[in-house]
Amino acid sequence: MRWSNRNDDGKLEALLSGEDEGRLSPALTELRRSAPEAPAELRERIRALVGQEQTVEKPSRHAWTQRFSFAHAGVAVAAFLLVAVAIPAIGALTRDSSNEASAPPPSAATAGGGGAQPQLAPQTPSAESRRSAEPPLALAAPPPTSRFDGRALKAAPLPSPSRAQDYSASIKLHVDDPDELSKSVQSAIRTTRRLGGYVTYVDYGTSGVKDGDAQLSVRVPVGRVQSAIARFSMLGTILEQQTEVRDLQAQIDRITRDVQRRRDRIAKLDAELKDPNLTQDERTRLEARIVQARRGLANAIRGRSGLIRQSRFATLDLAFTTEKRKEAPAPPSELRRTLDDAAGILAAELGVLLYVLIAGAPFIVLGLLAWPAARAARRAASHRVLERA
Amino acid sequence: MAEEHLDDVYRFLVYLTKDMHTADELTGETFTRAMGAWKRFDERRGSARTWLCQLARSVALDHFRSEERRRKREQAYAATEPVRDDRDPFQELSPALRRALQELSAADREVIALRVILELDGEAAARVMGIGRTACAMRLSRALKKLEEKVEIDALV
Repeated sequence: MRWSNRNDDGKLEALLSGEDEGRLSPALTELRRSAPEAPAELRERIRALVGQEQTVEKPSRHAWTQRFSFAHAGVAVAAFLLVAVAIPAIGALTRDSSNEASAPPPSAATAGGGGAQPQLAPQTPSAESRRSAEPPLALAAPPPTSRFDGRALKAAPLPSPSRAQDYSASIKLHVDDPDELSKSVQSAIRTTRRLGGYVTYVDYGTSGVKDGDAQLSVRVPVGRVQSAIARFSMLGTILEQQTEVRDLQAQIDRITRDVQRRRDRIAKLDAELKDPNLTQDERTRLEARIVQARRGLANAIRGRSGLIRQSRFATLDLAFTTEKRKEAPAPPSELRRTLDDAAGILAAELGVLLYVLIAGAPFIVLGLLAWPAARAARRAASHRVLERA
Repeated sequence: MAEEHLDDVYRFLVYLTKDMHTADELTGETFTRAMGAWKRFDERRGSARTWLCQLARSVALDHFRSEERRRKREQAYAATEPVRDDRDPFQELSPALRRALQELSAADREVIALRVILELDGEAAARVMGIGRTACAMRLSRALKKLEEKVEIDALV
């Protein structure tokens, strides 16, 4: 049987192994029997070549110079993932530590609510003018979750007994219903009067049977402001509180010096007016200047009196509402923030990776197609060379 | 290793080039390359014999390509053929088989050398040729068919 009539893989192997006694079998046996052997001279040459290269040792199988393997790919992927996770983690930790370093010291941060007495009064005259130019001190208390618990009082600084100050505070309180709103407003008015103060503004309104709001502006003697704040705080649940203290003493001192200067000037003009040698015109002119100086003096004294009055009473703005403030979510923990930061950076990394993959997808696909194509082309070219040879 | 596989490499190259002198030279070149590339040899990817045959094939391909370039270059100058070994590498074969082998292409002789003379299995031979096992079997089948036809024609003549 002709070989061409039995083109079968199994029979091909049988023919090669000599099990198939076809017509080609003797030819293959003959080919094997008369296979050429390397000439002795070539053998000697190769032996000499190998002798020269004896020093070349087979490298260790674990050497990194070995070919690329799946183990190497695994190590590379693990290293990449480690770096991808480590970068956000380190970034988050670094940011946390820098935040801690830049955060104000605890004493300063809790000055409004921790009971520490702020130093509002400048102690030296040279510092007065500088202090008076500074913005007023404003303190905000953390919103308590229940009725008066002393924090409101601690958050309100004591007015200075030795210096004139413009003291103002605003408190926003929650009350349960319009009935309580009405009672609280009335109680606030009574308290104000009992403390020797007065009400400057009231705005009270309800809508329906559930909702209502009221705003009051009261003035109480500054010496009783702590007591007022404490009592007002008990009228509801504090939602917001802010205290503002502005120093007026420097301004009063300046006006006092101005008053003294004006008095000296008037005295001097009075003395000049007593001169018998003055002409009528000069006398008239001097009298006009004295009148002008006295008017200026009166204005300055009035201004100083106004400032002193202002400093004797504190302004308290009260707001009552039946609407509950939305609870702010609890601040996330350190670990939570770190994890959030790390997750954010990881998401950004994934975004960049995705972008690169999308942008590079055509090139990657081309490369994946080109690689086997190039291999096939190289193989075909080699085969053509052998066909021609 | 070199001593053990020298004959195989030489036989493979004789079948590829049909010239003992060229096979001699290319065998030397193959082992020179093997010494240089010994560090890259990975026995998990195939035996030393397969690896040496791959190197030998690569050396032979380089040789054929350079010969092609040389022929093209010298055609214009009517250059003479290079010096060839007059000895017939297949002289020990019967005349019909010898002539048939001489008429086969290098590609056909290659697969016959690997599968019949060196007795490599299908996978190793395919690896040497850089093709799949099925493709290797097809090539062998075609080469043997051609050999059989040429031997028969020669016998008829």
